[in-house]
Amino acid sequence: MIDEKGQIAVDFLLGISLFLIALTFTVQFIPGMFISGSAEESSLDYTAYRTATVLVEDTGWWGNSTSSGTNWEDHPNNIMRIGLAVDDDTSSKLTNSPNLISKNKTEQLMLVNESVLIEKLGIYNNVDGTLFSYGYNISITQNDEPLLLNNTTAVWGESAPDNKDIAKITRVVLIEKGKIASFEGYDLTSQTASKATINITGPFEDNITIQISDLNCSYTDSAFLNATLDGTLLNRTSNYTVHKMDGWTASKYSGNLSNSDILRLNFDHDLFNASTEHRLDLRFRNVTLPTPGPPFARFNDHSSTHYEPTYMTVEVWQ
Amino acid sequence: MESLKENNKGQWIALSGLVISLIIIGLAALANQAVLAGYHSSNAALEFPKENIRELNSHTRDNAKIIKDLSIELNATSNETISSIYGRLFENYSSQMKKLYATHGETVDLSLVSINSTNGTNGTYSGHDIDMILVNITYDDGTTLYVSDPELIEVKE
Amino acid sequence: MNNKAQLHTLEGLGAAVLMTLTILTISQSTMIVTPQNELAVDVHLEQMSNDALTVMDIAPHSSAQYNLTECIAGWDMTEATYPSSPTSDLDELDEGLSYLLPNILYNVDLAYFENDNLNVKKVIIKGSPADNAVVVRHFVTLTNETVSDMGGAWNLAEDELKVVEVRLTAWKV
Repeated sequence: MIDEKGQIAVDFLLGISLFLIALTFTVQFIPGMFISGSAEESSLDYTAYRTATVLVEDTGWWGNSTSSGTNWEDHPNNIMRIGLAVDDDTSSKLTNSPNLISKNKTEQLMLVNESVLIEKLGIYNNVDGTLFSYGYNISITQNDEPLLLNNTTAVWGESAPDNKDIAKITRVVLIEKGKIASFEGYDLTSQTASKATINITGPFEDNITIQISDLNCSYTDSAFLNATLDGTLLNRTSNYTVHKMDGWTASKYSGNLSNSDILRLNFDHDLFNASTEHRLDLRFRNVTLPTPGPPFARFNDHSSTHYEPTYMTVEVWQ
Repeated sequence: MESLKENNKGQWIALSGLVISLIIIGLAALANQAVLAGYHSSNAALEFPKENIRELNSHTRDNAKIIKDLSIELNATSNETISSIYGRLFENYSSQMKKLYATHGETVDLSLVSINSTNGTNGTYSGHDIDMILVNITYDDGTTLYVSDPELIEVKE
Repeated sequence: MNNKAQLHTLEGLGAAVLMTLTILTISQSTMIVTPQNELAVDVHLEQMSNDALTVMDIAPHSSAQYNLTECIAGWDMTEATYPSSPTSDLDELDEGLSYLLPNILYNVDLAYFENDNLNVKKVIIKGSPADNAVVVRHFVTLTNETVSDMGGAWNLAEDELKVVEVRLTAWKV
């Protein structure tokens, strides 16, 4: 009897331990098996995608009992939808310009209350009628730096945590950046040789840009020298910057100019605070400016809205 | 194996292994149902051909303007009326679009409904007072059908 | 000797094998491995590529970059060859796209109809597409005027419209 019981114990022990090892393995394996396919993750991807799409492609909408329109930035208390796409004609419902981002709308979005932002953009999960907001980070970047608008960085939400699954969507957009006037060499007027004169009437809300292409550079040492506003020599770093453009790539200008170069000058808007006509003289060396003045070319006649490519990134996590 | 036949104690260890296996299979089946539901709903949103439809729309809008300018230009050197030139050019545009979309399995149909002008009656306008073009746009890729009937296109300068 | 000696061991072994096989079968079956994340990655790439073409398309005249229609209108009708001359005559288009799509490689084809024959011409070749490549398309309309403004070699009649499909195949490196 005793002998028999002993034998059973060894047999039973081996059997039960094999079983338990397999059970432990199974229990450990099951949660890992299901986690990649959980439904929450897909809704995260979708939330990021939808948020980016709404911001980039929709103009937004405001409305109260009497009227409505796409210029929600002027009616922050009656926002119905938030969208950043430009609508240049608010009277028409047919204007849609996806991927063109309005500066005014973006600035207004910075002032919007966070709970309104989460609600209007739908950055939350609805579980049985209870709303759980997701963590989010929305940013507009240019050359890997957050964009500065009115000295505020275009970043919403908190920075993304490292230890969580993050759904991320990046969109390529053009953002409004003040006014630009493009001149070709023969558009520029001059009173004295190699000095182009442009009349500019202020004031401006944002920095203004003058782009010059097709300059007639007659010598190998042709160059841009300096800029004078109403007789005062301007400072090349604090008052204005000069870049050579190659497509969208800008590089700081220095050295000589050739016929195919495109020059872009960016002036601080504070220079033109008075609402009078300012006279801007651009001094070149060995550049032929064929059109005599006065009358001089006017910035305001050539100007249009200036757009630059930037990236909008939307990140969403649990 | 003779011993197994003789033993009628129920082999509860093997039985519990079987039971646990069945439970896992059941759980997996249930989880799959949920995953499938999530997959389908988010797919519908992510795979909706919004860019294709928008491109068809916005390109047709751009073309309504290009064709208007070209018709005015051609009208200056021919006896043909603007509306007949416009109709011919639009027909040409529409057939090229139809063929290009057909090469990747999408059916589109663009047809000119009318050319509207605030001054001047139909067919006699001078060109520059054309302000609205009405176009029917249909897009179908097998799962998504989009119809704009009619699409109003403002072409006033 | 007890002839029931190994019975519990066999039972335990049987149970273990059964459970392990079940787990293996389930985890190997394709349904549980969701294509969720891969789909999102594809959609992300597709959206970026589409954005790049849209931005090229709507680039205003005042910018230093030519827009999509102008780029295509200026094409000299010679195809690109890989690897000797991967970008034919469309440097402007290539510069714009590579600025807008960092860390993404792409090929560009132009598709258009000529006398009811479909022509597909390769104009930018950056390599052979990876497995996860996506294709996006945009359309441009060329007229005699746009072509002669840009000095291209499209031979169009005064009253001819040419719809050209710009086909962008993009993949991540």
